[in-house]
Amino acid sequence: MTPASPRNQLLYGTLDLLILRTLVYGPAHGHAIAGHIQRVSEDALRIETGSLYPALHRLETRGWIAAEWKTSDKGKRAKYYRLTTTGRRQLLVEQSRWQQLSVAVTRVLRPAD
Amino acid sequence: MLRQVNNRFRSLWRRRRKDAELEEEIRFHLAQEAEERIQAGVPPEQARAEARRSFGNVTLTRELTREAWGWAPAERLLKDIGAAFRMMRRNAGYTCAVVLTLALGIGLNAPMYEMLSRLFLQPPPHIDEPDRVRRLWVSERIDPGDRGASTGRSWVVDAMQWLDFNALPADNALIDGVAGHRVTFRTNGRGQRAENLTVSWVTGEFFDFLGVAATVGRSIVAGDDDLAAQPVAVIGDGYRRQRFDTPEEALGTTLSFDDVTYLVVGVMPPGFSGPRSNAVDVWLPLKHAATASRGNSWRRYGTTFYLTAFLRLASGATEEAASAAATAAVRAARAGSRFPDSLDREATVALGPILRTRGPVTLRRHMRLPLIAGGITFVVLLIAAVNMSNLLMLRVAARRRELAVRYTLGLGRWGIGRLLVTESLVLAALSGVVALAVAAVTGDALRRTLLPSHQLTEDPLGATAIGFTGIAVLGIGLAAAVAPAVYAARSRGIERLDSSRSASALGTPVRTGLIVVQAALSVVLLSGTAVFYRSFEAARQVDVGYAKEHLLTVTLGSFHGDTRVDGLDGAPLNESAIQAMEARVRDLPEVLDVAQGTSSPMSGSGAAYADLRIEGLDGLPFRSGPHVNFTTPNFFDVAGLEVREGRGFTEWDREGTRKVAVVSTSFARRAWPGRSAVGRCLFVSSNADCTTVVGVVEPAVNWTLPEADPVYYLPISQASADPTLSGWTSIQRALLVRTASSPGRVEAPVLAALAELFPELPGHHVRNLSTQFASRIRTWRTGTRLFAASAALAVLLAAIGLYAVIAFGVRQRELEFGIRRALGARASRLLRMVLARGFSLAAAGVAAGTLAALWAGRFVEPLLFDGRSPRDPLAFAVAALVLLAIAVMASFLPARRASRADPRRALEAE
Repeated sequence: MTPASPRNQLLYGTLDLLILRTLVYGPAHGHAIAGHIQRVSEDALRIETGSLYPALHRLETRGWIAAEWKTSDKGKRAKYYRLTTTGRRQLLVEQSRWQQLSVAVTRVLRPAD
Repeated sequence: MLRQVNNRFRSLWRRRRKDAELEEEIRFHLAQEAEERIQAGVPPEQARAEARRSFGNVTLTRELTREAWGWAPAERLLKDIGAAFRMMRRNAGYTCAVVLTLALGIGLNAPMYEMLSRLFLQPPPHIDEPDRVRRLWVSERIDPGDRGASTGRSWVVDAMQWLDFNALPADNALIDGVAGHRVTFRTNGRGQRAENLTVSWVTGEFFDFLGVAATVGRSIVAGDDDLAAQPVAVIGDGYRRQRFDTPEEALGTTLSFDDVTYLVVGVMPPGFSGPRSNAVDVWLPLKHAATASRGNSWRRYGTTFYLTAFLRLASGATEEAASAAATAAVRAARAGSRFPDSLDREATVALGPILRTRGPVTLRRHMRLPLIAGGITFVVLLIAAVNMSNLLMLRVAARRRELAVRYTLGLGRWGIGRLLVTESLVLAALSGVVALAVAAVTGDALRRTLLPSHQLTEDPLGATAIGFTGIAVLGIGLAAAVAPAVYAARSRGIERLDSSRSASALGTPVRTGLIVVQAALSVVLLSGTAVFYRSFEAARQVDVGYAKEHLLTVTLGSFHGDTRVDGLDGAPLNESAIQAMEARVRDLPEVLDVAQGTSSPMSGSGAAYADLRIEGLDGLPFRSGPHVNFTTPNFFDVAGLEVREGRGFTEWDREGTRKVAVVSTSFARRAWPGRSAVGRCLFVSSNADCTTVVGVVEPAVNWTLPEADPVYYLPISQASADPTLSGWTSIQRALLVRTASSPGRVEAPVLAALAELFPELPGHHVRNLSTQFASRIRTWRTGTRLFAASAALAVLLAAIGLYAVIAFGVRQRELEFGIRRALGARASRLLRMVLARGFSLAAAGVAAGTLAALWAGRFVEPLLFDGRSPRDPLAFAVAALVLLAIAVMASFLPARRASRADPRRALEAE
């Protein structure tokens, strides 16, 4: 469903993982989540809003994250997302799946012994 | 149910709130983004613009996020419908064209289907278990007495003589009941305010047999059908509405038919018309009504009175067994009757469905017309559907860009298909609504044109018509979307945003195919129109014998089929009143001459047998007739009948002089083929003397077009003096009035004279002959009009379709035309090129349509006047020419546009 722009394609499903992981540190609004991922990845991963908000709303629909309207530190109303219990469980599943994948990919890339 | 609706609303409400929240979320994001930039030192104005730019497409994000919410099917549908409506608003012209054409198509078909289903499919309303009720058809030889040329021919009618009906077993293992009725037109009351009503004479068991109860009061019961009982009547709801505000008011009022007063005791439920689809005003007990009209002879002999009989099959009984039982009963009754030799004792009784139209006998012409009409309007509907599909297709092609964007946004092929189907359905539904309005206007008119003597009891816009509209909307909505959806899904151009210029060939085979089909259907209807028009012209110009212009007839003796003729026991006419009437009419300023006869032209009544023998012949050589007419000497002059041989009557042909007769050419040709009729002998009635034929007049059409039945004329003065003939002349009389100009001006004073001298006669006894003739050729006129209207509609549709296709093609190839111009092509050459395209499409349609019309001719053949061929080359040529001309006109505007293509713009664009 989500068109990936050719510049920084994320592997399908990884955006969900990144969002869930980010929310482990506490509730955050969409802009903060995108900023966090960009900062931590040292600008390697730029999340396009066209992908971010659909993903957030999809996760919310699935019940992995919950949203709440709160006043931000600047005094404006913002929608804060937080991890739910099922979301935490899902994060573990996604993380282990990612690890399996990355191990597998690394194996393939490793020069033959 | 209520909770579902509630949920729907709640989910819609939630959706609204979610939309607002998403909006706010995005706004916050933008604000946050701008804030960061401002803090980094970017001027606020620029910061905001950058924030927006870095966000990307806001609408797209919004759209995609909404997608992520997931759509409940109902919400998805609403969204698609919304898109369909936006599309329609953007393309108002296109929408109007589609909606109007389809609305006309459906709007004509819905009442038509309703009418046809009432006539042919649905059993009449209010009848208990109509599937078990059977209509009885008697098959017998016409002339069992072995007289004349018609020996051996048999007929099948749904009428049964009283003798046979009485013999039917009313209640046994096979038959659960028997009832009969006879529907006639009777006059209620007397004088000029008398009204003509459709009256059904019923046997006592009739209502009980059908299982119908009156809404107010009671129905006729077995005890009422007894001459000793008080005469009662039951009226239909339609007639009740004409006269009374409430059913209760009708109870206790009286009606008067044939001098018997009937007390109204009940009103039947709305829509009830007995075992037939045509409305009935009044039901009367059969014995009272028949005796009042015919005296006592009808029951004594039992062979002169006919009624339509019905039986109810006992549960488990087969049709074959019941019909065998009825046949056996009828044969036994005939063998034991007073005149066993004059009755066909081999007669059989067959059972048919309750509706006469579905009976074992083929339909009569006036009932076939609605069927053909149904076929025609269906063809129009097909054209409208094809047109809609065609226009949808063009829209798809024109919207390639939009669809391509939607496709890349992940709508997918199914999504695009869904979108197109929704659009098509919304268009169809809109047309359906307009169609109901069209149906409400045309429905009634349609019925009155096609079946003027048929009053259906249900509204033209009944449940059937509305149901038909619903099904048509759904069917056409889905079917019309198929081709465009397939085209959209298949076309590679859809996926390529940059392909708009090279798309001139897209979908061409399907599109042109649809146009050719449309043109072909139009040709079918056009040639039908031409064929019918030629047949109508032939019917209009038929020589009825009578000089029918400026001729008025006044019927003085009442001789309707049921009245007083059979037993010759009617009250004699007042001879002095007739003479006074003639004198009064003769004195009117516009009147040229007045004649008398016992039969008035084209009345179809009074055409009676007398016991005739022809010199030198054993039987009568006629298929039908001969009819007799007793006339005054000036009759032929006034009627405008030319004496072809010998002489007409004179004042000298009166009582005491030699008995004379005049015969029609049709009579003479059959009686004395190849020889002169003058001087031959006729033996009229039991009269032993020779009545000498002194003249031959041209044939006069009396009842059946185009053929004139054989007629012989006798002088009224001689007949009145003859005791064996005076029975006829004393009860039947009509005045023939020849007027100087339009007879309309004479009608009022004639009516006044009639009211004074014959206060009991209803006003409709004064008739204008040319009006009567017009009603006689109604079938052909209606056919012509119907075909013409459908053909006009079809041609209009084809023109719109053709215009759309050609115009679209030209728009697609505008650059190409520009380049051609730049390379030196002349404007006239481009014009010709486009015109040729339209012409060739139409020509293909003409070819296909002509073949189809040749094939379909067999269906209209029986409807055409006097066996005209439905494969009339002139008619086909005219149809082809009209369509080709329309095609050239439809392609002219686009062609001009092509010829004016701007070479400069073409070059710049490249």
